[in-house]
Amino acid sequence: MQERKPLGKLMIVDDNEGVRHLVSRWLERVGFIVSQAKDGADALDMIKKEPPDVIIADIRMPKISGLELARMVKRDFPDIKVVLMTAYSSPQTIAQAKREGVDDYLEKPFTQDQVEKIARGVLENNNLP
Amino acid sequence: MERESGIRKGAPRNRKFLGDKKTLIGSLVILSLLVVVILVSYLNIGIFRYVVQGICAILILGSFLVIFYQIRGFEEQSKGFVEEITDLNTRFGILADAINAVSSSLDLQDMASNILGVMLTLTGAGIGVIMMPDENKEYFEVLAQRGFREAALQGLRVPLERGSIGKVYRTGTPIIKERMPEEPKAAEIYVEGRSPVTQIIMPLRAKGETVGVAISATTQLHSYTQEEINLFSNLCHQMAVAIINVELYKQNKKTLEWLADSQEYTEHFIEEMTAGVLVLNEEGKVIHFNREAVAITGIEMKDVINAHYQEFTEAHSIYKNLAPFRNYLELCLTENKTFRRQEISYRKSGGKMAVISFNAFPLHRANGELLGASLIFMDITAVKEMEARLRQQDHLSILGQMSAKIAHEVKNPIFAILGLADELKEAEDEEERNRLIEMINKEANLCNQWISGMLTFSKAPAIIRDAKESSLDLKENLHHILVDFIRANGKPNLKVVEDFEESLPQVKISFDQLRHVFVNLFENAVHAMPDGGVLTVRARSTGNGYVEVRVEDTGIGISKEHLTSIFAPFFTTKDEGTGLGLAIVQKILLDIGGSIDVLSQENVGTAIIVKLQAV
Repeated sequence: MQERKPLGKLMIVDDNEGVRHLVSRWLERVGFIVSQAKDGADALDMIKKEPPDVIIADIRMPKISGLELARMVKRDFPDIKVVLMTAYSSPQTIAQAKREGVDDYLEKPFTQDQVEKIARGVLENNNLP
Repeated sequence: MERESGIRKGAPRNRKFLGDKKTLIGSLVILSLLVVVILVSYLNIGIFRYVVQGICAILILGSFLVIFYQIRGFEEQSKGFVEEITDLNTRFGILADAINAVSSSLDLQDMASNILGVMLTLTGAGIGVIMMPDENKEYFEVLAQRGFREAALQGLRVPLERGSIGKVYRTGTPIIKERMPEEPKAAEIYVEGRSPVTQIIMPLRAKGETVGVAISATTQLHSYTQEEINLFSNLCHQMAVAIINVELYKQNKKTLEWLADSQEYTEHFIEEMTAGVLVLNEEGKVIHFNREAVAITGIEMKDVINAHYQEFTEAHSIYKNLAPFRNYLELCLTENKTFRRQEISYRKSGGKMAVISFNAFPLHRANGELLGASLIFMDITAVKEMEARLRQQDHLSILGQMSAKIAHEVKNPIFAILGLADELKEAEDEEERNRLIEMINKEANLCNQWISGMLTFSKAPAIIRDAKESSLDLKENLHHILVDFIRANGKPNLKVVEDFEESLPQVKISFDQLRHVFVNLFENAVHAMPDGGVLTVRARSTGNGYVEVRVEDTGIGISKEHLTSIFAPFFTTKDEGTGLGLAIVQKILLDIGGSIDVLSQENVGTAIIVKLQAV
């Protein structure tokens, strides 16, 4: 694998280990530094230690949902970009996500190219319209 | 008392006295003495005795004359007495009439008219009127009259505040007018065409209250004697008493009518209620049993009215359907307990089960004294059946929700599996490949878990139908399930307490269902106590056809916001879990006529309360 300057620090939050592993693998391959958290609580702990540039979190997680996590992150760390992943998204969920200040969202299943494009996009401030 | 003219003290009635007792006795004594003197003179007095005898004879003759007249006098006197007695008798008759007049009617005008008649007879007067103040207490209202022309009284306004009549009313003191001047319009006012000369105005007074006035007047010159005044006053007092009594009676009657109306209303209401109503008096005897109660229980009203609630036993076949209520009624009457929204069930004569929802409560007077107890009950069998049908539909809708949810949940691992499989193609070394394969396996298992959950859920009704009629010994079976569970899942710091009531009835559930339900609850309890604690399983009979089993833990508890969702399918707070455990447990319990409830406090613990139908 070619050595490149890191594009940014990403954190993948998903209770499904397979998804977490797959997405991390894809993004590491294109030059991001990727950390993994298995749920919202875990993510908050890690953010406090070393804040990433972008958080990519599943919307449906036990205890703390993706939306709750987004709200907390936006409140305490407004500079961190948040992208939510959903397996099924209703318009209401998307509207709520916007209200919480979520920067973008991804619908599962997605490809390596899609997630890479979104990660790059939010880093360049291309927020949701 | 006040007289306007010709003041005269009341005197005894004129009687002609022709003799008196003293004169009579004196004469008799003299006569006796003379007889003695004559007898003595016969003894030894010689010639002089003839003179003495002559004088004596004259005296004796005189005495006889005196005695004769005295006796005549007595005869005359006794005639006078007879006259007086007759007179008194007439007066008593009049008084008796007056009393009759007062007691015979409750209509004031009627009564006033009767009394006025008596008064006028008594005083020999031809004009009279009885008046009471009107509602506004401004003018008098004529209650009864004699001797006036009707037209003259119409529009007559006698004020309470002025004039002799007003004065009598205000002061309560009678006024007598004698030698009154001739009124100019007498011909238009009085039937006799002449105005009265003598008049007495008497207050109608009783119990310290003046309620009106009575006037008696005559066109003759007449001086009222004290006796006449007393009698008139007495009659007026009687009239006043009667007026007060009639007023009281009217008020009473109104109250009584109102009470009767409200009682009738209540009875009608009870009769027409769409709920069964049974009312016990303080002795515990049935005093009300409405139509709906007859319809629900099939017990005839005549059989149950006056029956004592303690007769409501299974052994007493007529009251069999009331037997389940006996204990509740007893607690209402003896311990002042109230029961709301309770449910009992019994087998009807046709063999069908009836489910009854009821309230039972003591009845009290306003002062808190026990009046009896009441039972209000409804047959909710149809509602229960409908609920069961709805649950079936609900089940289908849950299945629908579930499919959507599973599609959603399964998407995740499938997404991972597909992506990871792609990665596998490009994986460079053995170790990486193995790691990817392991992950793919894990995700595939997750899919499997979801699908199994759905299958259990959808298969549940079939299992339930098969097991519907089965019943088992709760104590023995639950003990085994608990022991097996602890053997597999026990931890050193987990304490297990069993608290089963001695004689528990059999319960309606199959062994598989029982195991499924309780293993799930035990798992949750143990999961809520990661650092150990006490798991308590209690079972007791509720006495109303159910056995209650409580599974209690001393764990982390459930937050308020989650409390309402714990039975919803797919709800979970566990890292691993489908969120179907309690949903399936609830489904099984509802389908066999049981129930599940939860009490929880965060960081204190949780109690899950399961109710199973006793057989």
